[in-house]
Amino acid sequence: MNQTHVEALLPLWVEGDLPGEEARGVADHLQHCAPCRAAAEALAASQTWLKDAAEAPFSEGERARFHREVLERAHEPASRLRPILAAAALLLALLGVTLVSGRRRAAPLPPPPAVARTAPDLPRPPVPPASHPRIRPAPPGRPALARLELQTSDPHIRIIWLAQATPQPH
Amino acid sequence: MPTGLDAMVMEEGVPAASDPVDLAVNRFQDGDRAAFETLLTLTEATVPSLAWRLLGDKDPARDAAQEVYLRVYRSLGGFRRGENFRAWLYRITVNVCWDHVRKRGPAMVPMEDRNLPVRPAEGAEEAVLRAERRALVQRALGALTPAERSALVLRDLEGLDTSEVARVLGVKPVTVRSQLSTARAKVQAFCATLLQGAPGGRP
Repeated sequence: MNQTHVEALLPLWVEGDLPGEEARGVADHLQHCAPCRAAAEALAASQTWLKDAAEAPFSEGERARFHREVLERAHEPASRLRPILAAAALLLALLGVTLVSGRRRAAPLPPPPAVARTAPDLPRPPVPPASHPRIRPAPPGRPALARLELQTSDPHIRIIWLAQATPQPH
Repeated sequence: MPTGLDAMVMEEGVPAASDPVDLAVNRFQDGDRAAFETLLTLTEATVPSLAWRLLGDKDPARDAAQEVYLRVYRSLGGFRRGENFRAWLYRITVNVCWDHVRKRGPAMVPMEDRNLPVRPAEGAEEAVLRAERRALVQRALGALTPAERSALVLRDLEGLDTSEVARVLGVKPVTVRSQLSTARAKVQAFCATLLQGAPGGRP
């Protein structure tokens, strides 16, 4: 083994990571090569520093707090989800109620009672637009009479509302 | 105190029934949720320490270690009996720490950690020197890639052997040896450069 080869192997040799034959070759070389020996000593020293400096800096109090926090967090999801699940259930219930009431409103009405017609083919009066009130102005010289007509969806039913208008005091 | 996975039933297959970690895993999988605390107690000296060695700062390490245990709690039901729990735990810790580094970038390494545990019979001067060496080594570790740092930490600080490190990291042993060689040389060179002329600076 030459110096270059040994220098490349030293980082592994210093911690015993070389297979037996290679490790023996490095050890033999170090006995007569001062530069490689110095390099090996420097590596061994930095490894010692590394291990000495790697002592975890957590105190007993910090470890106890860590232990407590882990347990709290491990059991946290259920307790945290509980109010969310309750809110979601309430929302779903409200949504359900809204949907059911909406369906009831939108449910088809029972068919209108049969009306006897003398002339079935009689032309029907023109149907004004539904739910648009029509106000007829009062004739001149007479007190204003408000007349409000509402046409329902059934062309045979019309709601007429009459009201006597009272002059507003000036 | 034994270190590494050898001390934790390294052989694949059915674990020794006497291993308290494996017993706790089995109890948890059988529905005993209280066994999680046993697992935590048995392993909590390892995970925060490993996270700190990988991240270099206490607060992110504590957060990462908590995340590790939460993942364990959620995933332990699917853990296959007979596999090495501690190797799995190491793998999760390394992954969580790498995720942390990817998301937030490398930690700012504190130049001086004033919260070192005090060693008995250690004088003030020794404590200061130790704190300086710690900061120096942390800076050296900060110069490594995540893969190099993981290999170095698992092999040299956690005491796993090369094949165990390879299993934890999901790479070949030859890759681990290459990462180790580079990492050790970098740490030595970094310390040597910074310690030239410093008192007590040998490497």
